[in-house]
Amino acid sequence: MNQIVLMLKQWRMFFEYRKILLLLLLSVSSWASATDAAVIYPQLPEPYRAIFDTIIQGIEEEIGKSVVKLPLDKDGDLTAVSAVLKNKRVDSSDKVAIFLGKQSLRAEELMDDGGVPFILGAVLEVEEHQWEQHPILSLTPDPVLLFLRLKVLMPSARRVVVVYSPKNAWLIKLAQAAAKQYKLKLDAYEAHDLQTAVGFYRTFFSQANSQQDALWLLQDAMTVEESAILPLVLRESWNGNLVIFSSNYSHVKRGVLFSLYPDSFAMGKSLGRLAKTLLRSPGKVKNGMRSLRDVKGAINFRTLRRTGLDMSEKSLFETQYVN
Amino acid sequence: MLPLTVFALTQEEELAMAYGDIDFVELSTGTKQPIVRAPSVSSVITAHDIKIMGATDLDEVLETVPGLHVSRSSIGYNPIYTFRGIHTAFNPQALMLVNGIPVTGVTFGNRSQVWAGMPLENIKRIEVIRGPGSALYGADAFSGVINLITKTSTDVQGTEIGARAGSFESGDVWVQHGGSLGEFDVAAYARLGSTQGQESIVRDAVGVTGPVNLARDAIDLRFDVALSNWRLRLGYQQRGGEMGAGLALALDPGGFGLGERTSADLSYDNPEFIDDWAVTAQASYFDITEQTKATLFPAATAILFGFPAGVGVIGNPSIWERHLRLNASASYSGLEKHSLRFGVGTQTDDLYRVSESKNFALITVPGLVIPVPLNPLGSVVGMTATALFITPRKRTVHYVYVQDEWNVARDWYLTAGVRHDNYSDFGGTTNPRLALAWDLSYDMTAKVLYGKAFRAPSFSELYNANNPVATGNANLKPEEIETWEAALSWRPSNTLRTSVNVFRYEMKDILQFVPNTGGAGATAANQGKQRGTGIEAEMVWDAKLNLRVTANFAQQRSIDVTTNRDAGNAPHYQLYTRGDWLFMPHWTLSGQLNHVGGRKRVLGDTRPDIADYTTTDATLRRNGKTQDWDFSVSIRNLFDIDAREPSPYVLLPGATIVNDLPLAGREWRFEVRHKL
Repeated sequence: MNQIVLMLKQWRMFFEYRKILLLLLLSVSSWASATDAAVIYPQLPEPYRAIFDTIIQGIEEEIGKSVVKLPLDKDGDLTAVSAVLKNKRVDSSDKVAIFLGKQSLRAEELMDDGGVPFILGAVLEVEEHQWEQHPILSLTPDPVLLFLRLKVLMPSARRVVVVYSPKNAWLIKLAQAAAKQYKLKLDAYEAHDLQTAVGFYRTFFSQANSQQDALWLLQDAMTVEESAILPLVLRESWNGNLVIFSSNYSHVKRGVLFSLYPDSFAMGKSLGRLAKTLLRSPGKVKNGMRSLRDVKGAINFRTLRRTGLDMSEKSLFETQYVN
Repeated sequence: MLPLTVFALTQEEELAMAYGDIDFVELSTGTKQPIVRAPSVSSVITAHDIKIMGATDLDEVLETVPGLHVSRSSIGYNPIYTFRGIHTAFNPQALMLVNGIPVTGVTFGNRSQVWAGMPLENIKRIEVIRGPGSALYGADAFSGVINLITKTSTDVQGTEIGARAGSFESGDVWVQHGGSLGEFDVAAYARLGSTQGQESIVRDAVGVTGPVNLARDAIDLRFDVALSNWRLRLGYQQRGGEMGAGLALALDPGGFGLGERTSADLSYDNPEFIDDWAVTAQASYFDITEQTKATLFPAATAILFGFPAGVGVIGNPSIWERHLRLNASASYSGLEKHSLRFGVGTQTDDLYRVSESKNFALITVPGLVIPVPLNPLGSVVGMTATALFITPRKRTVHYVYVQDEWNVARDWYLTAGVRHDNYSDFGGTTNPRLALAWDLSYDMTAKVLYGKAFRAPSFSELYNANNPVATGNANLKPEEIETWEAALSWRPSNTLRTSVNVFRYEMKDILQFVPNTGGAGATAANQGKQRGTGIEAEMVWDAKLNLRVTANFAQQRSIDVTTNRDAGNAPHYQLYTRGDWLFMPHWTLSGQLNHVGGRKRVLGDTRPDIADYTTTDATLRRNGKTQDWDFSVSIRNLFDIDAREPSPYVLLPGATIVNDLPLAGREWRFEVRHKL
């Protein structure tokens, strides 16, 4: 009998809880409707289309349904969007714009009158002259999170080696600070061409200590070139039993120990929060590149087993197991 | 030196670098991909694959697995899961598990005679092991193991309603929910289904021409509640099904079976019980009921056996079984380079009630067993205990197993396992498993495997009585199989996964009803050997970012060692290919081809070999966002191909469905789902 009473109570609690949640939602959305935001995003085929849908859902979750969605023309023509922006009066003082994807780097062309504050998101490659011009949330996983996972899986790690091209210099700067936090030495080699990059890798493999050293691969089409460099790096690290981790999710399937990939919905919420802050207290949002903290993990179980690392810690992060 | 601009990325390339090759696995869920547990040759089919291929019944999914062909029994068109050439009438050699618990009945050793399908909406994952599994799973993990994992609260998240309608007056409605209730994680599923079934015309064993009878009704209920390390699951399935091509290969439009399967299991799972020890324990209960009302031969035939005019040969057998299982296992990871697993368990298989009413007795005349009326009116009477086809029985089994995965040297892993089962009726059996895996390189793994497995004699084979066609034999021992396999998997690039394996098996002490010497009828015996070899190859290729191609091929030869003839009925080769194309936002078009070929007849069956067939299916699906509608339309057997599965061979010439069992022609299905 007591159990029945308890169950009834739980039911009631459940409904009460739903009521509170509903009230909260209502209040949040009515407040949020004060913020008008436009999201400008590229029109892409599946499966990429779904990524932007999910990011926008995250933005809406944070800002409310008042978000104006403006898909970019397929050939990247901005005039149509520009017209809509003006029509919808997005360029007035209580509005904010979020540009998504590579095309968004041309946002200045639209926003040259300087009326509406805006942020950029879901981009990877940004030209150096743009790094400090706007608030930019990159698709690249935060080095802090990568190094944290490295230390969890490989507590003996002392040194991380990375080969980067100049366009990732901003990230290396962040990574240097992150490495200090985890008492890691970051040896970063800047390469301007394939040959130099290969040279850096060869030097690393000839000197590497598998107990202490780990190699970090970036989302970089030159220094981690897919047809020549990647197979070389995978083969050499396999032979030398060296740990490699990557900012590029697809490398996990190829045999890299672990990677992080974007949690699109959470990234959308972060963008939404950033946009709101920008509107309410613009001084708090600094221009500059930001690495992504809204990520999920992927780990190659076969590689983990082979490296003989501590597998009991694997449950520490939400993870996709590959192989 | 290449200029840097060569390496500038397009929009798509940027996203691919962040999200990987975005395979069709829904990355957003971040779920764990399964780690293949036992060292074995195995396949995993996820809920996402199932949706895309447009499958609505388990058998449609299993047919896509290399080396596994789903054939049909004449009784209710029950599935015969033919792994690697092992094809038998009752198919007890394939073990089916739901959440790791067998759904095997003890009377016939299979999944019950009133099966009538298994829906898929509530299935999270299907794991299929080809080859032996007795070292871990015990009895009947003989030619293959099929494990269905049902959805829990995290897999459903919210409420989904769905409905489907299609050809053959088929309709299904279901609802499922996943969420939390206080501290409990709760999932529930309910489904109602009904069909008139396909009505292909056959000419049966007694010369009657008419449609096969495949009308079915189904109720499915599942409930799953979890709190920290504890999980309770309840399940109920009710099936009403017609007799297919008849119990005695004579069409039976009025006959039907009622089947019920009720299950409950409570498990405790603690991955960190104490230092280096993980522990699981489980208690489970499973109850099966099969009630049959059948006309074995129509009045027009019965009259030849002396039955009064207008009265057929009627038999109504029913059985009730319950199974109680207790098991516990522990894994120890404290020993360097070793990963040990121990398990113990006990189970009781109880055929606790049997009833039978009929209007005939079987008598033996030289060379034949024939039915004669029990009374001059041909009326149906209940059988007393001594006249039943089988009497209530009980068996207990105790078992113990141990398995070690040993990292012998760098890149070499040896898994060794052994399980001993002790049966109260026929004694003990010990079954080992050995697997040596070698990580050849970062993208390639090779393994060689050896395993021994057994199938326990069913109660029907041990204790059948009052039926000269199939008399039991209490002195049976288990049927055994030894299997050797070598497998290679290779991932040459981000977009291509391949694997290939070769196998060889040898079955001995085959359990079968052997014709009695010098008279009619048959008695169960351990007799005969079968040997088989084969190859299976698989490929998954992401040809473009929005196009995935899956293909597999299987070839096998199985020989009856005594006669050196083909073992018969199973396909020598199978070819399957599917393309999944995300052609516009949220829309997928999937097409598949399945070729089944090279099916020989069994020894003595002089009919021409069973014709090869190739079926084509297509599914168009719209996958909405959350809180949206999903639609799909499927067309199966698009070209209305005449595909047939072998009917049983009967000693008396012509006393079977000579032209085999036709499968369904073209079939349409329309489905809608809504996430609330």
